Amino acid sequence: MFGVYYTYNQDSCTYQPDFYSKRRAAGVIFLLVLIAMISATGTWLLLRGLYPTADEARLESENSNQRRIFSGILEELNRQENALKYLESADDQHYRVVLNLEPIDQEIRRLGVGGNTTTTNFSGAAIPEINEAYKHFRHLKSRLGLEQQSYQEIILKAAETETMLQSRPAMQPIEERMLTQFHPAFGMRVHPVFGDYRFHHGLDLTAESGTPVYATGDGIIGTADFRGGYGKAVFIDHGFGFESRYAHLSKYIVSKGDHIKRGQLIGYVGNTGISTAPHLHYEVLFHEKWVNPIHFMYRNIGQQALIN
Amino acid sequence: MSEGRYKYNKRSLKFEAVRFRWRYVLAGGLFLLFTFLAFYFILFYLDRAYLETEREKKLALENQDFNTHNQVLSVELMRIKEEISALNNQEKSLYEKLHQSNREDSVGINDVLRSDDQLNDFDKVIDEITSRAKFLTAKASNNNTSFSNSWPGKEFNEYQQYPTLAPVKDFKVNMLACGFGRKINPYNKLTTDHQGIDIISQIGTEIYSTGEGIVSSISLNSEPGGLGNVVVIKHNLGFRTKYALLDKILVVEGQEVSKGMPIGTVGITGSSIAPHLHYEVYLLGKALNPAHLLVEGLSQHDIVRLTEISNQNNQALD
Repeated sequence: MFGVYYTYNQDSCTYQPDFYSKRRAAGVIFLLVLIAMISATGTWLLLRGLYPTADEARLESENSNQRRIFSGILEELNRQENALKYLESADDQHYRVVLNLEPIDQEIRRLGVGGNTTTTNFSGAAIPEINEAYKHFRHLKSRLGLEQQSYQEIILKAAETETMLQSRPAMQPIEERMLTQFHPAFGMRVHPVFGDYRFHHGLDLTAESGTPVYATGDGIIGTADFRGGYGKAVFIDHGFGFESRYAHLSKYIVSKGDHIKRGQLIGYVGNTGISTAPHLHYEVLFHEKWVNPIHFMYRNIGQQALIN
Repeated sequence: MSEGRYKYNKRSLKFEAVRFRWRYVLAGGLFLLFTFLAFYFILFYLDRAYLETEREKKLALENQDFNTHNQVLSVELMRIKEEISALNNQEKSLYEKLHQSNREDSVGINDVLRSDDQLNDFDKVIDEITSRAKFLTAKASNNNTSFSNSWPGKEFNEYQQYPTLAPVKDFKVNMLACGFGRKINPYNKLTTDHQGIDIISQIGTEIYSTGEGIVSSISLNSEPGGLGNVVVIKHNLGFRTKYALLDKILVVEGQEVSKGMPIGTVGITGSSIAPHLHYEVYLLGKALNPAHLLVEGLSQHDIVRLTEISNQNNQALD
């Protein structure tokens, strides 16, 4: 292609060197380069229009990956929300009813006041879904905070209830097999000593002198003393408005201020005070009013397990 | 190039006409191709390195957002998960403490298949399923016997006179807190006979007469022990129903009541430790399991569930 070309001049009948051929060759090359450039640009533009760029493809796959993670998070969040909803409904429909607590206002629950929301206080992402997610998180967290507080309250109340159950008189103060006689006579009756018709504040459990007497619930000894007609008597303050009294004892082995448990030995049956025969006079008081102790005895239950 | 072109051949010392040669075309074509490819790749890499499309910008931004926030949210989610599972455990132990029982004695096959190590040991799974099947059969026949005690073979029109309505408003199966039979006394935690069932409901919830009858007795008792305020209704066929621990009583002695008529409201009187209705049913003086008679308006599944809950060995609300 290169080198000198000649043309045949018919007028002069000579071969004349063609001095333009180099330029022409350069022109051809230039033209080829131009065509290549234009078609490359054209192809590039076309392909770019038709298919995503390599960067786009890479970013796209990363994007869908991140979106998958994101929707996984949202899914798990929904699962957690359902778990929380279950806890809330158990709280509202079961525990608050069982423990007789004030119900939580549903409006407050919906708004979820009282939770800690400092870490999720964000809403500056460019993607609305993310901001939505933060909102969702905030809401869930505040509801969770409310629920945690609520369960704390419930657990405290349950513990208090448990203490109340432990404290309340709920057994017979003398073992069933030691009883020789049981008079379920609470209320008006003829007094065996005075002979008149008067109110009997407790129940008489007849047993031999020296039979052990047990505290019927947890509490503090209010009195362990000789008390006139009661003779040697022990009064136990159970709290929650309850008091139990054990009278006509031959001996008591506790003193005022002692903390005692249900089933703990406090004394022995005797015949002190206004009494005609060895027996235990047992009273239960609720808010300083006498109530029928029969309801606090549970005589049909095997009580040996309680005595320690 | 129409006019002939010549080249001087130095060897033959002649001017020779230049002929058209394919290899020039081929060379030109190859040149064109290589230049094209070179340009194309230059553009491609320039684009990749420096040019950003709108879409790329948007995607990059999104990815960055997702990346940061996914991390933040995952950490947050983990924390929430931990807190909720802690709360769940608290709730579980609370339930066990309050009712002295596990919530479920679950019998689903999914429980058997849940753990992976058990899946590997197929014989174990089969054994487990067999033992559960036996347990279920025993339970079913047990339920059947106790059920047929409450429902002796009678004519259909006699069944209609049974007290079968749920005794509280909006009764749901999970409101049955304690069933009939040997149950734990809440105060001293000893097992005793529980003559009725305990239905948890808020104070003031209406209590319905479960069948047609006559109010045979009403006893009011504000003492903190015993059954509190009680209504007893006498029905046909020797049935007697007893509604205890009521707050208010809306009927008087001797009054005729129809099925579903409000007779009082749920309270927390007597020895109850939670607001609930203590409901007893007697047939000719013998106590029946009231859970077996609560069939009106309940699905078959609910009735079975009711019997199951009733047979749990949990704590009464007294």
